This record gives sequence, C-alpha cells and structure tokens, in this order.
Amino acid sequence: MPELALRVNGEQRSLEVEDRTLLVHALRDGLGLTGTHVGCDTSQCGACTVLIDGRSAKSCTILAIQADGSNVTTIEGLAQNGELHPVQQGFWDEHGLQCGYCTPGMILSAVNLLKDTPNPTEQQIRAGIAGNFCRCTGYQHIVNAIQNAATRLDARNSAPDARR
Amino acid sequence: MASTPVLPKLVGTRVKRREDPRLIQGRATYVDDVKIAGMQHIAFKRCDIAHGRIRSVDVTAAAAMEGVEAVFTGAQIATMLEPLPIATPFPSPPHRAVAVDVVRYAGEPVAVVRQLLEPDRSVGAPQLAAVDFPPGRRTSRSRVTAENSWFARSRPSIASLA
Repeated sequence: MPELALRVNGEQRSLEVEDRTLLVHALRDGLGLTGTHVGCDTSQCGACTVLIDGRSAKSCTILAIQADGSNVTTIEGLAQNGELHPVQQGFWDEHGLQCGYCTPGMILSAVNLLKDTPNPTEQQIRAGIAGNFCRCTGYQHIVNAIQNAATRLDARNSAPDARR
Repeated sequence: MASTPVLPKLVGTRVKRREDPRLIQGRATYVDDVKIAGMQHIAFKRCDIAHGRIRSVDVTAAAAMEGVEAVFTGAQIATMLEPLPIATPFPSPPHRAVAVDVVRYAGEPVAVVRQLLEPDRSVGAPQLAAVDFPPGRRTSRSRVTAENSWFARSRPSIASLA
C-alpha cells in the first residue's frame, strides 16, 4: 500500500493509503481530521473543500496519493494561536451558519476567493461559492459573512503592522 | 407608586450563537465523525432497474468476503422490521426499508451488508449480492391494470375506469 507524505495544517504527516483512497477519507479516517465533511457522492456540494498549496479543492474528487508532497490546509488549521481567522470570525458575527455542515468547506472556499479577489462584489461572492451548497441559510448571511471578512482582511492588511 | 422599569437584557440586542465556535473550527461531532473501536458499518446493494419483481437474491459470495460480518436480504429484514410508517391518509403500498419482492425505483435497496470496513473501503461486498429480476419490465406506456398495479388493486372502482 502506498505511503502518503504531506504537510497538513503545517505539520508533516505520513500515512498508508490505498491507491483508491480519496483525500477526504485520508484526512477524516487516516488523520482523524473530521472537520472536512462528505456531503454528496457527486462532487457537487463542496462540504469537502480544503486548500491544497493555498488553492481551494474538493478533497472528495482527489485521490490521496495525488496530494503527496503538498501542503494541505483543513478547517482545523485556519485558526492561528487560538485566534480565529477573519473569515471564521465573519461567519460567527453574521450568523453565516445554522447546522454548520457546509461551513468548513464554505469558509475555505471563501478564504481562496478573498485571496484572489480581496474586495468582491456580491455577484463575485455568489460566483465564488457556487461550488458550495447550503441547505439551511439561503446563502444571504453567508454572503454577508464573506463581506464582513473582506472588510476585516482589508483593515488588517492596511494596518501599520500588517500581516497577511 | 413609581418604580424603575425592568428592562429586558436580550430583546432587541444582537445575540451571537454559542455553538458557532466549534462549528467554524471543524471541532463539532456529526454522526459520521463518531469512531468507536470495533465499530461496524452497513452498506446497501441497490437495484439498477426502475421497476421489477425480485426473483431471488444470492448473497453467498458477499457473505464469504473478508471483513463482512453479515448480509441480509429484504425477506430477512422484513422479519425484523415492519413497513415504514407513511403518514398520509391516501392509499399507499407498504414501504419496506429493503425490497422484498418488488422494486419500485432505481436505487431501492435489495440487500444490506454489515461489515467492519468503512463502506468506501469495502471490497465491493454489495456488488456481490446478486439480484435476479424476471424480464418484462413495465414501461410508462403500459396500461395500468389491476394486474400490474398495487394502486389499481386497492381501488377497484378506478381500475374499472381504466
């Protein structure tokens, strides 16, 4: 069985996987990182979204061995030193979640979106999360949360001691 | 007598949810996140035709596979489970969790495998439960008669109008 070696949330990890093991299952079952969710069988819902080398990707549609040697960020790795990421903070402030099942994937998609488009219009936000389904909220508060996060990130990046 | 009004503390204020911190950090526990040593899983064999009568279900190959604890056919499940309650006043056929003699939609379960491995890591045990359907599926063009329709049988007056 192949041995997978990769960085997950800043830590070097290695585990045995089958050729056919999906990345989402390697993360959930192999590494115990259950914050990444499986929501469909069809690559549509986005609940499995993680960042691979900084870019959002649906981990249900990637074989674990394809991520060998890469840098993966899951929802568990977003908060740093006990401090919530601005996108996480935005979701909390703006009631951007109800059951929370889509939320990790939604947050990571938003992180990528805001990296590419720091001041998105509402339309750009909706397009940016088009790969993430939510059954609870109707998306409006999710959009508000991402706008809230965009403002926070903007303020943070223009502060004198800005850190990205 | 004048007295100071008691003002509500929360009404009209913005109240942040208490459950959000664990939900936004991936620290919540959903059912699939529960892992107990020795935990078993079930996987379903589902039919791939829209409608038909089940002639037989052969589960011997599936039951013999490594990691498979047990395989149940619809007939076995029927001895343990009543038909699912359907909350409607209208006539409805019995809805079995696992089909016994008729399948009514593509994807209806016809057998259940209980196994130690996670279903995604199964060795295909559900695929080995062989289901035998007699030929002659009803198409949408066939007439609904008492012979081929549960509904028509339950409402003889309607069947006679067909």
